[in-house]
Amino acid sequence: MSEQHTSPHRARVNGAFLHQYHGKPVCLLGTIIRADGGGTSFQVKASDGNQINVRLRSPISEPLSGLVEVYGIGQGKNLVVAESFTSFPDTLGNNFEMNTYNEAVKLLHSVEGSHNPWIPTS
Amino acid sequence: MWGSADASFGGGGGGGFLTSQGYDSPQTGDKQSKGRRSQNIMPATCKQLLDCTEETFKVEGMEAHVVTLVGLVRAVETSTTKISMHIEDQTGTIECVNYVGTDGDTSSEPTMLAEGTYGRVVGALRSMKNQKYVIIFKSAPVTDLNEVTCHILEVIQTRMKLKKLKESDAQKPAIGGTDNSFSNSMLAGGLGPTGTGDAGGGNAGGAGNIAGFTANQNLVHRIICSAREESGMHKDQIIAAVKNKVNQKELMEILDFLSNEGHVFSTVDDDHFKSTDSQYM
Repeated sequence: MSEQHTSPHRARVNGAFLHQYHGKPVCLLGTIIRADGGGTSFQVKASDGNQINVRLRSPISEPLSGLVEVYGIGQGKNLVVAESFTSFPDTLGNNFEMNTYNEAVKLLHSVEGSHNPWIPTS
Repeated sequence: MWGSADASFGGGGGGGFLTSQGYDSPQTGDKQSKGRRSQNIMPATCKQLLDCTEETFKVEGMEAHVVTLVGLVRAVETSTTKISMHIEDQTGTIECVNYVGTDGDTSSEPTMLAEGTYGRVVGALRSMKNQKYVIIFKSAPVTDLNEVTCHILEVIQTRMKLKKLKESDAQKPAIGGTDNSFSNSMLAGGLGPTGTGDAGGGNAGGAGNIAGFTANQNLVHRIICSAREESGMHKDQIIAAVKNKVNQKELMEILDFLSNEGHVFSTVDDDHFKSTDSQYM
C-alpha cells in the first residue's frame, strides 16, 4: 500500500457544542455569512444558527458563498481555527436540510461513546 | 443516481442489512443460508474499520463483509494496475483501492471521484501488513449532501439496533430457534389455529394485550409487533396470518384503527406496517 494518510478524529459540532471542544479537532458545517480580513477569516452560520468565526491559517483569494465545511481546532464558543475547509457547490447545497443535519449532530452528541463511532473517545 | 446503486445491492438505503439474514447464528432449513456469505451492507466510519482487530469486521457481533463509507476524497492515485483513493470521514482516513484491468472488463471500474468532494464507497475491508484498506466494489460521488446526514444517522442506528437485537436474543434463549427465521414462520408457529396467540410468537413480539382493544385488534397488533423486518410487515402477510379469524374488510378497519391510534404506521409503502410498540424498532 502507498503512503499512509492519517487524519485526526474530529468531532462534528454545531455552534452550541463548539465550546466543549476547546483546543480539539472539530468539523463544522455552515453557510457563509461574510468573508473579511483580506481573506484570512470568514463568518459562518452554523447548523443551529449560531454565528461562528473561522480564522484561516493562510489567506484565500477566491470568493466564498453557500455551504462550507470547516476542519480545524475549536477555540472557545465561537471561533474555529481552520486547517482546511470544503466549499460545496450550490447543486449540492441547495436542497440540504440544515435542520435535519443539526438534529443529527445533536443526536450524535447524545449517544454514549461506546455506541457512537463518530465522537472521539478521549 | 445513488438510488439505483442501492437497488443493485439489494439493500434499500440504511436498513437493508437486516433483511437478508437472521442474527449471527447458523441457520437451518433456510434458503438463504447457503454459503454463509452475508449479504448485508454495513454503514461504517473509517475509525471503526481502522480499529478492527479481527479478520472480519464486526459490529456488535454481526459480521459485515461489505461496508459503506461516506467521506471526503482526499487523495486519488491511479496507476496501470490500480486506482487508490483516500477517504476521510472525520473519524480517520482509510485507503480504498480497486485493481483494474485484471479481467479486461472496464465496466467494473469504479467511478473516479474528484479530490476534495464527498463520495460514497461500497467495498470490503482487507488488511495487508497490518494496514487496513478497502477493496472498492462501487464508488459514487455524493450528489446530495443530505446523504452525509443520512450516513451519520445510519451508522449510529445500525450499531444501536444490533445491540438491541443481541440483548433481546440473549434474554430469550428459549425462543432463539424460531427467532432466526422470519416473521412468517414465527407466526405460523406462534399463532396456531386457536388464534389466541397467548404463547410463543405472540409474546415474542414483546407486546401484550392492550386494554380497550377488541380481541381481533389485539391479534392484529400482536402480529404486526412480531415483524422483525426493517420494513415491517406486508398487508398480505397479515391477511394470511389472520385468515379464518378476521375477514379482510374487518382487517382493513382494524389497520385503520391502529394507524389512527398511533399503534402502527406504514413504512416503505401503504401496504407495509410496523408497530410503534415493537421491541424490534
